Amino acid sequence: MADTTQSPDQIDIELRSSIDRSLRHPVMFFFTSGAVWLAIGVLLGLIASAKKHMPEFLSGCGCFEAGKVDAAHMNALIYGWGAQAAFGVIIWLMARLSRKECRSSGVILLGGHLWNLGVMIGVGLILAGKGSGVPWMEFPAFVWLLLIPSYIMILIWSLVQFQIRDAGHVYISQWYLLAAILWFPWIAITSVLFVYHFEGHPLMATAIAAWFKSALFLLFFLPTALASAYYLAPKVSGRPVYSYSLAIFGFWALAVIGPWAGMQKLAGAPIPQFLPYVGAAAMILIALPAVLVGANIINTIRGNGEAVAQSPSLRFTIAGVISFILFGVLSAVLHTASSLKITQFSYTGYGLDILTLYGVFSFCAFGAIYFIVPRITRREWLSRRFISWHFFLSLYGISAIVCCAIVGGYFQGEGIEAWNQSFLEAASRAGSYGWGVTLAWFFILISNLFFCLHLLLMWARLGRRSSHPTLLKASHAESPHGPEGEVDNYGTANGPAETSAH
Amino acid sequence: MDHTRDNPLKRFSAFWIALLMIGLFGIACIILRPLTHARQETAYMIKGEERLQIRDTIDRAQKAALEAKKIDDEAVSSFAKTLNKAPSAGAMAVPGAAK
Repeated sequence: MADTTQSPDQIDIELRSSIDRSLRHPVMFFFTSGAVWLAIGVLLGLIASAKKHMPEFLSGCGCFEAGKVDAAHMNALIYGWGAQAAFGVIIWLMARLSRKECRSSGVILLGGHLWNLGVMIGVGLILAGKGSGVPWMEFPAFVWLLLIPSYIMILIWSLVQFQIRDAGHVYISQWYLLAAILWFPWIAITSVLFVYHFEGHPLMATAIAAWFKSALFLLFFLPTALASAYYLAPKVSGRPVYSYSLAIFGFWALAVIGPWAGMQKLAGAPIPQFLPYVGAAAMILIALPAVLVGANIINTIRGNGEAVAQSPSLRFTIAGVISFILFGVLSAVLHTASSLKITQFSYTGYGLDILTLYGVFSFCAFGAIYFIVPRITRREWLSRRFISWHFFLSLYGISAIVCCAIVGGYFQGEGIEAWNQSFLEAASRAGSYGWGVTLAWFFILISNLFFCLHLLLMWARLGRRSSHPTLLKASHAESPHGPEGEVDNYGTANGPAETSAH
Repeated sequence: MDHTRDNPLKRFSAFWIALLMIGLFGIACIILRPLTHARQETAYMIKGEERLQIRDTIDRAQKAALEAKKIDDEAVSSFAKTLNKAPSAGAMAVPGAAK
């Protein structure tokens, strides 16, 4: 008779293993298709940036006109990469934290395919000149009829898992995940209805579109990134969250301040005057959750410098958290009344957008991907050099983009403000900084080609069969996991782990 | 572990509650639409018909005033006379010119 008694640890390991198995296909689908979209988005970003200072570049091809390629670049980054990376992180984290297997991976995969179809149609139509022209909502209106139902097909199961979780503590990561899942339909449905379907004043539709742009980052991408950071920092460093009260205060600060931001883009427009200034005040106040959350996570890993240096997940996550603090500080500086008039119509906004999407969200998402993928594929990352190049090229690229776009944009804005200068002269002030941005996109493109290739190899289960996680150091001689070997500690792809799971 | 929260009925109700919560945003927008898009009596709506009538009258009067024959006979001939006149010193003082 087989021995059926299992220790709580073994039960726990088997539960985690079964959750990972149940989500293997949808999560890998979202991460790999997201990575492909990221490469496409970055390539389009490179072209869009080049066209800002070399308008004749690719001028023979109608689909690469500046307005089209810029919109396609942002939408591929947001909905192709960002949303899909967020889906993968949300469904895996919510299942793990709620300790429930996923029983609807087929529906999630179907939703994922529909989402990709929507993004493909949307980006294609933008390049064909059929985009709506609404910032960050450039997909034609009908594409949203595909995206919103597929979003529901993908994430509704995470809400169900949260609802049926075993009674007990709700982690701060779950707070953020739950908020992100519910806030996205709020901002998307409201904006799509008021911008495209309800006939209202076009100026208010513009204001709502500006709110959507801000809310999409602050209320969807940012909570997802912070959920991942609050999960990974204690998990990898082996220490509890520094202050749970601070974590909850940071969450509510974001929930209260975030929805007010966005309309500062319309300062001076004939809309009620309080709206842009409330938006600007909210953008200044965002520094509060940025500093609180940043300090909390950095204090959590304080004293674990070695872990940050060695663990790809933690290194990317901490880079994302530092970017969030930087975003908070820059946001506070660039949205004061004196700065706003200079930055409102310049390149600076682009720098902040890329800092949020790539510096904050993507870095945290990369950290999560480096943590999740070995667990669901039961293979370790093939090459620490690929990961190092991905990290350093991305870090260099994003730093260069933020510096060039914000500094260049500031000079450009000053030129626009100078009444005795032509607009062309003001635009030319940012020209050399434009070259810097193009070069930075090139570095980011190379880094993401490494990332995409690495991820595809992992999807094909060509990763290392090893008991050692891939750490960012020269050798594994001092690894606490023992000597390197062809040991598969995660069990087979179709069966539970036999020895341990990490 | 507490398993009482996870049963088919709970999952079924959780699914519909979640769907309702997501759908609620759309429903709220549709309910709030009449408040945010209330029919307003703008100046264009109030005066539109009257303004179109005035414009129609002006258009007809202008058309009548600009008949080709009248232009030939009166306007063009008087304009031609002005052009054919010999240039003369104007009454306006020109800086630097001899008085």
